[in-house]
Amino acid sequence: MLRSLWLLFVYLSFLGLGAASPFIFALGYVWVDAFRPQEVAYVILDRIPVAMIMGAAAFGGYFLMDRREPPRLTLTGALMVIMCFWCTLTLVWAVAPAEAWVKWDWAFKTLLFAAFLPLVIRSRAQIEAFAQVYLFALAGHFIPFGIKTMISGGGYGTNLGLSGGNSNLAEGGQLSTFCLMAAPIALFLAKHAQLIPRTFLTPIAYWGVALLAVVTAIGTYERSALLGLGVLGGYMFMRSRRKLAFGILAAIGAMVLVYTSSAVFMKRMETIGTYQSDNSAMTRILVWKWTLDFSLTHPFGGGFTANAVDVIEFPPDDLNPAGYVQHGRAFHSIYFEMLGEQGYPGLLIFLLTTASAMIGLRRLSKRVRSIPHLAWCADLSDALQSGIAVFMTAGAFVGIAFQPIFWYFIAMSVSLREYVRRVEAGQKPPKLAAWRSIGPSAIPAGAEPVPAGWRRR
Amino acid sequence: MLDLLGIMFSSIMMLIVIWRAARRDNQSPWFEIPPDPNAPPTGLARAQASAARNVPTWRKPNK
Repeated sequence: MLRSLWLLFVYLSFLGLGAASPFIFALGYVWVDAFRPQEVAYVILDRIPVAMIMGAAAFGGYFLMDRREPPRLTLTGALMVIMCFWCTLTLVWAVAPAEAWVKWDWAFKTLLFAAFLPLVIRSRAQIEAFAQVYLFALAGHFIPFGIKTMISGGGYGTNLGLSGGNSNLAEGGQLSTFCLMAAPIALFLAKHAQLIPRTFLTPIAYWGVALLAVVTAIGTYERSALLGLGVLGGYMFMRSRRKLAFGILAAIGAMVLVYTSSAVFMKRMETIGTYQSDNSAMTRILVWKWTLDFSLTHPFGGGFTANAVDVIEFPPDDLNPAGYVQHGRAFHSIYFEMLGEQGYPGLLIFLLTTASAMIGLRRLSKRVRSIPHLAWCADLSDALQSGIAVFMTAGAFVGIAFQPIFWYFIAMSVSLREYVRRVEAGQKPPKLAAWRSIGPSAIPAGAEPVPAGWRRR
Repeated sequence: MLDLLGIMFSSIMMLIVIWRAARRDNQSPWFEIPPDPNAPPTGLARAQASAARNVPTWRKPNK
């Protein structure tokens, strides 16, 4: 009861503060999407359409109160909008229409809201608030999970989090991937957070949150988490300016993991190399093979939840000498999920969106790293790249292509790039810059350049 | 108990964040342009730089 009342208070706080600053409504929607209070609360919030109310407030607040200087249409932003249209179009030829509509209902909203976010997240305070809300929405789940893992050791399929069942953050593959994506954001905030009062405890708290995120990922015993952790470590090492210190810390972390992890954990991780004899890994391979065959007859995809019609024939084994057949197995991979559901065009849009976000972030990081007042942008860019790299690796074994956490990362990358563009445009006197392009003779005598600044209220 | 601890910690941090973010968003100008370190000094900074070089910032009237 106390939990439910507290979550209701948090929800109402988003609505109340949103009335003063409409972008808070959008952050409220991010919180509802990532934390899912309707699944955690026992009363009130579980009975009202929390996401619909917050989403309507976010769109209404923006269009009625906050249309200040929208961003340019970037390639990444355009691709997100195209994905919205394409995934709606594939409903026309969906092979399992009833199931397709169910998934479209939430996936379309996710894509639409991710495309909308760069309109409202523009200033540094807004970008940081977005990163903080994203981190703490997930932290609500992984802080208890991480502490329980430290006490009990965790386990495969053991649900130590807030949500029940085997979907969303209660599913180990999703939880571990999103925790690993959150860790670099926490490390970025440890260094650059301005919205939390800075004391000596502030970086320690963020480091603690990052540690619990990693412990949670390991505690799920997901093999994809170990691969994701390896990619996260490698990517952060490449982007780190203190490679020796980072390498020593990573080596200590790996040794602690080896010495403290149980024999059960090590045994499960060893199955990465023996996938032929592992039923879970074999299922994935058979589903992927089915998807490749399916894509030959359905190059434009089978619509959402196309896996509902899959027929997986398992080879004979000791328990089933004649082999056996299963239907409706999940894709277990973001790439095959896209290919099976959205076809080659959908997969191409997805890959292009990710590639354009990554390339844009890398360029931005390179450009602003040496500029002291934009150093935080370079660090956030590195954190986002690390998170996306983790998603693309761990996601190869989990079907989470339409989950909001990834698309919010893409939205954050668009907001960040647009922020840097605006700052650079604001530091040049705009009219003077335009005159320069024409030539000095075009400048009227005695003309004053427009003062720097992007917008005044 | 641990569940409640996680919820309370994360949501209190988040409430602080959105409270302070909303206050900053309502300041004017709401979009902060950080100072360009390469820009020539103006105003007080220019006066201080001139004083340090012992150069008067005022101009003598033309004769």
